Amino acid sequence: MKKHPIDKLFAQKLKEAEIKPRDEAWEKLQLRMQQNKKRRIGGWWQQGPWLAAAGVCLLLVAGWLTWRANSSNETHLAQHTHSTKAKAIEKQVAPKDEIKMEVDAPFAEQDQVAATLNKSESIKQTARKNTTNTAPELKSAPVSPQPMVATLPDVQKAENQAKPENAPEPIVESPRTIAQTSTYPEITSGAKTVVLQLPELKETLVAANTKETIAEPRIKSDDTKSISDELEDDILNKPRKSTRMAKVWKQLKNAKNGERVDWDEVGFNPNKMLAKATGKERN
Amino acid sequence: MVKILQLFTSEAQLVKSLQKGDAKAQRHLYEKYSARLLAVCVRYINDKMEAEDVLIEGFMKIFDRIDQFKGEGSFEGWMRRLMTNEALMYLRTKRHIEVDLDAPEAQHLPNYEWADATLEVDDLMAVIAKLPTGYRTVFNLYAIEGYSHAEIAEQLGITESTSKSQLHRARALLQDMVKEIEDLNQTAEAVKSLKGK
Repeated sequence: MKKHPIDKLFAQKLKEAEIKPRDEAWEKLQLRMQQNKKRRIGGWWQQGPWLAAAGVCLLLVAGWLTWRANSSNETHLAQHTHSTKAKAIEKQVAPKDEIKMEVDAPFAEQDQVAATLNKSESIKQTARKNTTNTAPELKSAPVSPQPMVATLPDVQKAENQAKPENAPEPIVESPRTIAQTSTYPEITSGAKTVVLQLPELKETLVAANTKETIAEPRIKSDDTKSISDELEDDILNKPRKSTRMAKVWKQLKNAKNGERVDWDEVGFNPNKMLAKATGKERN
Repeated sequence: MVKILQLFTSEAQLVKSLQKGDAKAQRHLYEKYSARLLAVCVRYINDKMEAEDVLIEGFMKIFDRIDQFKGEGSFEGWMRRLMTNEALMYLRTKRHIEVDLDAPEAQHLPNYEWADATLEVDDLMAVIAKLPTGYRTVFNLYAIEGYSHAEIAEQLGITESTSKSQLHRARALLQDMVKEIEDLNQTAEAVKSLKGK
């Protein structure tokens, strides 16, 4: 098809036509490009779907936390005290291992007993700083209300035995007791009873007391393992949360299948609430 | 031949660095093509300031979609198409492309005798600017950009026959106006020569 002369004329002349843009145009373009880059990276307010997802997650977590807190408050605070105690014991077990490691060291260096003795003595002195070294009974280490006093006799004993015999065994004992006193200096055995007397305490308060609750099991360090095992079993056998969840779930299933719903199992009864509401209206 | 080869390699290199987002290459591209592409925009949008805004948007698109240019056909052609689309989009959103079917058809028979040597680019641009938007758009797309009536119909959302009739009317109007300019030029030359005598 032959091109129309008008088309030809304009095409020829205008295809190569040029109109120079103002200098501002380039600056404007650069500005727009910078804005575009920023937008592409995007602030948090532009991440619509992600923000929504994050919000939903936050709500879920918050809901779960409050629900858990409520249910645990209602049901068993005792369980809480148990679990916290167990946690504390677990914590306490870990340092014990460390102590053992410390203990191994002197065994290995039996020749340098004197050196280690000096060390342990200096440690002992720092540990003893605040306590008065008053006539310790060597053999008996009773469960006294103040463990520092209780452990100190051990230290004393170790010192006394080590000096004349130059034997490695007492040295083994002394670091242990020192470590114990230094790691838990302000522990009292009476603290445990405090926790048990206040079963209504909130979780946080119980947590704050956990340090003190360990006092007794730590002093009787031989018993702690058995106690902790017992407690761990206890926790494992009591998944309260899931059982409640299961109850609600079961009732939901019942409702779905058209069977009777046991509202006591769920924990609330909508029928009761309805009755209350209507009664108020009549008044 | 060597020159063409050099040109090609340099353009390929330019495209490559543009694809990497090289700011220097972008500046270079702008320097090289902005005037030509602005002329395209002005042909569709009479106002130079508005056309500049469209030019900026068009360049943003060029930089954005440079990855889509696969080296098929000329790079400038690709840019022109993007710019044309941008201008059409602007016309669609900011103004109505009035397709005035009722406009009187130019009654003059085509006169192929006129000489076009004296006509300058500016004159032609001015003439095109005087056309109604619908005529101008169709004429630009068909005569200068080389679109088919089917493509124009699709782009503007009109029928092919409308596109054709718009083109015919545009041509007739343009011809009249061109004639006028030529006449003016001739009289001006005649006056000049008379003055010279």
